[in-house]
Amino acid sequence: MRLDNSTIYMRRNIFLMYSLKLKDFESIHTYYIRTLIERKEASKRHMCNRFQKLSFRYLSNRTPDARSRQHQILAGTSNQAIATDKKPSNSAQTKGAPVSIENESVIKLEPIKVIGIVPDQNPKPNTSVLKGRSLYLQQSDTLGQTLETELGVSNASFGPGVGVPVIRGLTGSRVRILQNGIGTHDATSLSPDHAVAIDPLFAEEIKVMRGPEIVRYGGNAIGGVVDVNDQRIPEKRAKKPISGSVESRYDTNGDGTNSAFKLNMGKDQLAFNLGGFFRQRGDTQIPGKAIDETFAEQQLGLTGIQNVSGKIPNTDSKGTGGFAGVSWVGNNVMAGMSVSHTDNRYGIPKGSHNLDPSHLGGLETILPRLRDLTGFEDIFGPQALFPNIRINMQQTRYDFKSEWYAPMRGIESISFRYGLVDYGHTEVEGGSPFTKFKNDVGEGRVEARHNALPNLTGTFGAHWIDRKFSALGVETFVPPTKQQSLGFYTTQDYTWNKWIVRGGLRFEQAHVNPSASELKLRGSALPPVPLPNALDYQALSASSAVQWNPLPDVALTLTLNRGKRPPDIQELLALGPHLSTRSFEIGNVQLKNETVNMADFGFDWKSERISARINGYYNRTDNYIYLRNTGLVYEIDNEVIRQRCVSDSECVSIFAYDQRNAEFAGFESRIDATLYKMPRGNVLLTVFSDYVRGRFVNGDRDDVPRMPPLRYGAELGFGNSLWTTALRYTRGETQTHPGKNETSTGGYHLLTATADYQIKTGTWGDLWLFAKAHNLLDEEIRNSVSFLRNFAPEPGRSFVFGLRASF
Amino acid sequence: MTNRIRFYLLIVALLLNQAAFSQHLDVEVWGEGNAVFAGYCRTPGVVGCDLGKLAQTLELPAGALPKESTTGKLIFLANFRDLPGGDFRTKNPGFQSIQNGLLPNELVSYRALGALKYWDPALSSWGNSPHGIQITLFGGLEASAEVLNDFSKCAGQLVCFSDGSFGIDGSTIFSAEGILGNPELVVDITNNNGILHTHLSFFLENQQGEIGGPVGAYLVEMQLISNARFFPSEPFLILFNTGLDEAAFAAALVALAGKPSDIDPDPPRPILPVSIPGDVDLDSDVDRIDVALILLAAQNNEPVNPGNAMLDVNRDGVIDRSDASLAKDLCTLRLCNIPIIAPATVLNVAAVYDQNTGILNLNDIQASNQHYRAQLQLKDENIFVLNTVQIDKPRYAIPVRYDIESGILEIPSVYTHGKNFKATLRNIGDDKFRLEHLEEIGGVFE
Repeated sequence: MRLDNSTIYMRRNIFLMYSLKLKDFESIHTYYIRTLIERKEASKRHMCNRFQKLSFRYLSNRTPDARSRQHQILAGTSNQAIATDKKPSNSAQTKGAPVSIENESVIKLEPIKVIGIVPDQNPKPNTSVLKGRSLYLQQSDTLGQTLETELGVSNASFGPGVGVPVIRGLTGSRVRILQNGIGTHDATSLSPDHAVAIDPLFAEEIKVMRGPEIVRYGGNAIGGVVDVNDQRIPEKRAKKPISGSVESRYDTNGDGTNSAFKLNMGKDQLAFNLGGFFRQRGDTQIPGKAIDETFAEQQLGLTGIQNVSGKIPNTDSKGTGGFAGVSWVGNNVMAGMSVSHTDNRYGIPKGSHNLDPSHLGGLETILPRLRDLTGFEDIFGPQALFPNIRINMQQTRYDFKSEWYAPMRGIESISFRYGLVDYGHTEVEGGSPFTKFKNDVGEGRVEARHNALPNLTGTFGAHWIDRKFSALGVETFVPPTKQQSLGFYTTQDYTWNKWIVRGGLRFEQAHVNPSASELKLRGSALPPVPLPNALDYQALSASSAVQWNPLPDVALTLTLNRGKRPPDIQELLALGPHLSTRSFEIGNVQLKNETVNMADFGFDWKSERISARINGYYNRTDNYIYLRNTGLVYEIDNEVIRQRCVSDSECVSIFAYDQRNAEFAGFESRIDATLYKMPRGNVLLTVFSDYVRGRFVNGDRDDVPRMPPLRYGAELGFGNSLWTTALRYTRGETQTHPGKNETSTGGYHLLTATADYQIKTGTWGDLWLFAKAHNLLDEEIRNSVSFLRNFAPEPGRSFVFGLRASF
Repeated sequence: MTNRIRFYLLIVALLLNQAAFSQHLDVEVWGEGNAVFAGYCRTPGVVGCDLGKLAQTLELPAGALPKESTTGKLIFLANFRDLPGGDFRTKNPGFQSIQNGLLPNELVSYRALGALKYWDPALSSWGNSPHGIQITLFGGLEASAEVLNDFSKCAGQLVCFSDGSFGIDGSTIFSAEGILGNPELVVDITNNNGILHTHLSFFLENQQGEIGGPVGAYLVEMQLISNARFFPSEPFLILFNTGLDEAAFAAALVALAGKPSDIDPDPPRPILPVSIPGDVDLDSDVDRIDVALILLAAQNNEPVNPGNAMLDVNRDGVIDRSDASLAKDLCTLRLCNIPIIAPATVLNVAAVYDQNTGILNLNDIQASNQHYRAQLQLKDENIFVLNTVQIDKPRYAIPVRYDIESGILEIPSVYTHGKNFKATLRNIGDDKFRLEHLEEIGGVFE
């Protein structure tokens, strides 16, 4: 098929709009005007739809003021476009228009009624994007901490070194954490003490998708997706030969420093990105004692434990990393790759081991009688007797990306992503390594995005993962295993008047192959346990959503999802003590797919001064995989399974993976209002709340453990485009549904304050100064979603100061 | 009477006062032939076994430790308030065997006997325990006959018990009515060197499982059994103190046991293997406890004698801090030093010869690709007769090798009398093997 010049030009414009990432609204406006007058009538309506989507995507991330102002521009654009239709002779002189269009019959175009101010049509319900100023202010040491103020998102901490996002009460194998669309492939799904292999300081945009996102991302996205985009692979040509940013921040709590830089370079069609970071902090300061002594006495029967006030020992951390990316950006094709390396070293708060000072395998009976230990401090010193557990994590990634825009009529783009991840971490006790985790993964995706019909757009894709996992050493509770999955999917969006209908379908095949034929429990009389050769799973997932815009400012969305997740490696094959969670896990090789059935109702309202967003959801999960307490215990030192144990601190409970139906119900709500408009700035008020309740459906309807509590609060802000200040209060209620054999957590008052100021230095660039105060009331906060909540509270009062220079 | 009371008072005082005597009175387990034995742990230096020193402190003859006067059963002492687990629960007494005291991977279980007895301090007499009061003992479950490790029978679960879940009764109840629950449960399994050291969980509670019970002393009875030996140990008693002061507990003990002089000598001691340098507590490794024990001996200026020669690691005739430093350098355990590959030592020997009985135990014989375990008995000079042989799994880094075609049995190292020998035997038919070559080698494989 031969394309005419105007079609080629049209596609180029669309591509440029993508490649420029909608840098400003005016660019949309310019492109729109330019393109609309060039198009044939038949294509104009489609182009208008495209323009609307791009515009709304852009507008949805703007402040209410900016949105309002730009709505007016858009209205003007519509009029101008229509006027242009009527007066083609003027528009034909548009700068940059190809000569060939002069003969086009633009004068015959009719007004296009669909153009106008319509409400924000967020392409994905329950999706929020954190970027720009908001992101920079929220950036913290961990991804979970960075996102914990987002609605429906909590932080599963394991001491300050670990922060894994929890979405609507789900985490681990149920929430996919992506880096530029490809999984991080760290060990977070395996154990809560494993950190996410992403440093949030690089992030340019973090997208949180609440609810199942299985169709594009696979079964592990059954609870949602967090996609961190750090733009390490350049996606557009460099505007300047060199540009970039440098940021540094200091945290008074733990004497923490974070520094990072990014350089964007390029010439013509080649673009280079370079970045690096360094992060270091000491022990986290807290208002009271690290270990909840009431818990230790009641749950573990321990009195006189070693406890520390004012800080959590062994919570210092240090991280370094960097990346280099290169791309070739053609007219409608780009291809690029990046290499990155992250090194993260952090400590685990004491809790799993050596809590009881009277238990040193007999040494405790001899040491008190020794008067002189000079020369033997290395084996009898505090660190040797009560060793710290540290985790040294390294990840090297190779990412590849290619996009081909408008390769043929009806195909908007074809994209390819591939990530090769070499992840490993070593767990060290008292300086000696005891377990090494390894995860080598290749993940790829090929996706074609079509716009076959004027009102129908969508994707077709294939997605595959090839994983080799092993854990060698003391805590080898999961055997070396290969895991492969292949999925095919499609998503389609259909727009009709005030309605948007979305649907998606995915078929996934997963294959799990343990390399060992049997498992032997170290030091135990338990006979070797044979393993199956391989396990195969098929999963068919579907999603649908209907969005109705009854009024220009209002959108109602109903989303229905049915998604399946094949069991993860540890759920199938675990056998042995898992010290970080104080448990002994027994896998189950006959687990079925976990099936989530979610209904989500959303209400969005945006006016000039007020915007509101409320979501209510119900998630019924069939065959929810959980750890069933067998009622037995495993004595760690004696390596014996028994029914009861004298000293709970020396024993861990034995759990078996099992399945049971569970239900989750909750809501997220947020209202933003501009209270006063003043010459120097606006006074803004935000009120928010979120909640989720999870419980098992059958039997005694136990609570699903480690759910976040009811949160609500308000934020009062004052500022303009150059500076902002905000005071935020969050009330976390007592978690009275902690789950069976779990301890409840008390309520808390969290007060934070932020302030920032932007200095425009003209041609040199911008300087951005910011300050943040966290937990101003210095409250002792025990995080109900944290495994270690009774051993490590959340950080106490802290002040963060920083600057960011961009040039 | 005065001496007797003084003796038991001292024992009780030392038992109750952790600061003065915090070593536990563990039950030592060993095997001889087809029988398992349980006795006081007296192996010098072994953690938890310092009764020799206790007797010395008391200026009593060796072996003068409590036994029931009427039956001669050994009495082990324990205190329900000895550990931070809380009152009315204890892990003592523990059970341990020294290296080669038992076979590799030998499974030791207990068998509960008799009924729970109670010493009423008000009446100063022994009788049945108060109604509803019991001692519940939780043993190991993994070696239970009811354990299933076939996931097809466990609804996919890698391990379960016979009912498809973990609903097994994993406790033994000592009550006034006798033994309830599961009378036999696992103590532990030995490691590759025949070593075992474990503690069980005893609870004093009522029938509803609520912790607690009247102040007094409680007495239970049990014996040990092994999966590798036919005969169980002699029954023995465990006496628990529950809130009695030293004098009252001593009175309970005196009522059971006769005069110290009435006590019979202990049964024969197990053969003590040579220790590896630095392994002063004979638990087959050099760890921080070994270093601490040497430092303690050095601090007390203990002279070297045959009973503590292992403390003199550098063999210079003096126990001092340099011995501890040398032991520290030899420390092979976690938090000292982790060897990447465990070095072959005398502990790896797959063959042990008992000169007293003439039994040659071959714990790992490799013939082609199959492994066996066998026992040979010395009959005539240089002629051994095969007593037993059974298929087994590989256990040792350097097994005994048997060539089926030539009938040659090559033993890379057989341990006897504190020495190691390289030996070759030939199968001469009729289950007989002739010793053809014997050569003393060093304690460590090259």
